[in-house]
Amino acid sequence: MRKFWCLFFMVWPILAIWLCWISPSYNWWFPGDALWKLGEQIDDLFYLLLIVVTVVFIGTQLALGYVLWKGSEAKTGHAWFSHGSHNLEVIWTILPAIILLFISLYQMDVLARIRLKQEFPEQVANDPVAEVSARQFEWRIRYPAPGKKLRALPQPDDLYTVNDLHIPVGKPVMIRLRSEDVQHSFGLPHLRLMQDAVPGLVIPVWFQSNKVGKYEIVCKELCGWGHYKMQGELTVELEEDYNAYLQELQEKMNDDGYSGDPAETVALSNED
Amino acid sequence: MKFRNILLSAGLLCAALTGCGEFKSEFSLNEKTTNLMPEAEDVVKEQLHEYFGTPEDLVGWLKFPIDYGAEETVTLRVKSFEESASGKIVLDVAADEQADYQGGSIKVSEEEIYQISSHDPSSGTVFVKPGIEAKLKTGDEVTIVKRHGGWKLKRGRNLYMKHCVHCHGVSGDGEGPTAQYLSPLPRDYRKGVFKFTSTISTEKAARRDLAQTLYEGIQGTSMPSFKLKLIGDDMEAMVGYVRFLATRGEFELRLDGEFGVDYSKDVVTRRIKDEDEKITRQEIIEEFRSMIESDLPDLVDSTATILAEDWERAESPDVMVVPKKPRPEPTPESIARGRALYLSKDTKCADCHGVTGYGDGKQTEEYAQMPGTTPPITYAKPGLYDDWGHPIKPRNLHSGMYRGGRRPIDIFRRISAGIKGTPMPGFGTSLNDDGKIWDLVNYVMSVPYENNSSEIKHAEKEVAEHTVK
Repeated sequence: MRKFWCLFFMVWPILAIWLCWISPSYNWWFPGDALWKLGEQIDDLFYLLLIVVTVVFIGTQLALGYVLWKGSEAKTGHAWFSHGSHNLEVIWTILPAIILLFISLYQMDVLARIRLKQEFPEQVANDPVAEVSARQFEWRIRYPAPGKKLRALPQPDDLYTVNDLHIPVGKPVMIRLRSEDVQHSFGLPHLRLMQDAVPGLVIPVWFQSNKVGKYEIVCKELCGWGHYKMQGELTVELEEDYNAYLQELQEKMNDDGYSGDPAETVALSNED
Repeated sequence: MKFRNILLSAGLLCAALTGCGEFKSEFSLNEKTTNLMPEAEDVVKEQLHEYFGTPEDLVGWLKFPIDYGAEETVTLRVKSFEESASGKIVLDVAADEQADYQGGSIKVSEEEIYQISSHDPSSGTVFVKPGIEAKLKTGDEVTIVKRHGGWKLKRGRNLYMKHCVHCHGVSGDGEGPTAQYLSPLPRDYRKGVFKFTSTISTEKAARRDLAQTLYEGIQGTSMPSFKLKLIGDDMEAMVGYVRFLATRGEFELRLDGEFGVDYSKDVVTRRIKDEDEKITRQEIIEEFRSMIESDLPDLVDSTATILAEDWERAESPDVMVVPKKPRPEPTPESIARGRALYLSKDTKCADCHGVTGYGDGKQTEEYAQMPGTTPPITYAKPGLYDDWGHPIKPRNLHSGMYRGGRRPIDIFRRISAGIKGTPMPGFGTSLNDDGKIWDLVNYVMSVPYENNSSEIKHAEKEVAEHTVK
């Protein structure tokens, strides 16, 4: 029976590692390749962490298995009792500290390039393409009129849409992220990007996609009962398609429902 | 001790599994129906069941001249049929350009109909469950039912149960489980009234209006946009089902109104007590029965016809609000004319929306009268109320939020046709000049930007400005 429990507890870590190992082939892994340089660097960071964690996980699980197996063979019923070991304490404090310090220093560069405004690419630092307002449970989007810059306060000629963010391909873009109610998180899984939207703050977020396509915008912060359906669509398209989209949106926003009086049009054509 | 533990865990498991039984959703009854005397309530219940069915077994499309999706069939020849496998049939799909039979069924004869469980469009292979008993030969003709009768209603029901029911409720009464957390409350469809329409003030909402609300959501309320969730025919099906629920609710209300005059619980008690009338409960019941026998078929028929016609008329281009003039440029002159109209006695906009447009007009301080009460009873709290009896605020025009859409045509329609079910009236007839309405639209659309030029403190912090020093 002792051996059974020993094996029982060893099966689970093996199962976990096996599951992780096979998941890429079942498409349970990342949603495709990262679409930009920083996304790839985030993936690299992820894999680095995964390696560190895997090594530690396998090490500790092997140690646990060894101890269990040893214990199952012990003949006496007495446990060995320790008041602690100073050396052990020092080792398992310093070793994780070194690992954590290494990780935090190593990722700083990528974090800074995503988060710090002085690290933003120059062409987008002061020029947001759109304002994205998170709201229970949708993304409301405000664009400036074609050819104009987005201002902090809404302008009469601004263009509005919902759950539908368009950006041009292959160049950095910046959005102003707001929340109208509670805390949300603007997540672009295909770009490996996520940023909390905090009520009362306007947070600039920059990103870039080098591949044309339609990608998901998801909310990554549990924001209420409808969190699961808070989904938008990021459309990455060629510059001319993007301009055409804005043009079309502008026409829609200015729609006055007047199609011309058919009777009058007929009369005019008769005169000709 | 061990035995007790096993017993305990078995008990817990049972308790956990009891919640997993089959759940049956049901249409609930209106309060007015349950206030009828039991015999009248039963009649309303029967008629509702006959005309609308239950959520699991909808029948609306058989009863109403409304397009709820007709049956679509195609007749194909059998290429091969394996008797051993029984469930596999290869069809000659060359005759059918859109060979998509997922969810359809196969009709071998009138009696033998088999559900298609899976289907490969490229080879024309169809699998049915359970296997086909009939003998099929190569070259035999079979009928494929691609879409079942009332498919729009059924698909709409499935989508509604997935996306809408938790707020709007099974019967569309706006009393789903999450409704209690919302402000404003979700729409109760059962009056057949929808607020934001492109039709004139006396008409119902058109399909396109419900579709627009579903597509864009309603900013400032808890209604989100479903544009990414409703794909292809889904939107049509969804709108169809919402209209079905609205029709059902209105049908019920009309019957209640018809019977409520003489046969509601209160009236019956009053009539029995009334010494002039000298009538017993039994006599009232008999009177009701004889009335039902002679009048009921006509009554429900005409009710159903009126409703179907009302909804159909809303689709007609004749009742659509279309401006006769294009929108003039929002020049200062046009805005000033709009402002003058806004303050004028003809429109009385300022009475509710306030002189400065903050939605704080004097009507918001006065006691409103409950509709249909004689002598008039006022609501307990001052302010405006909608037709559902909920308090309602006039829009603060400075918010820049337009629930029914922010395009000029949307705002034109709000002013011209009003907002149905609310105290916002339509000015299409009273102003009778689209130029004037456009001036009002230009004014209303300029209000949120009145203060843009002046230095105002923005409540939100620009994060970047505070991090970069």
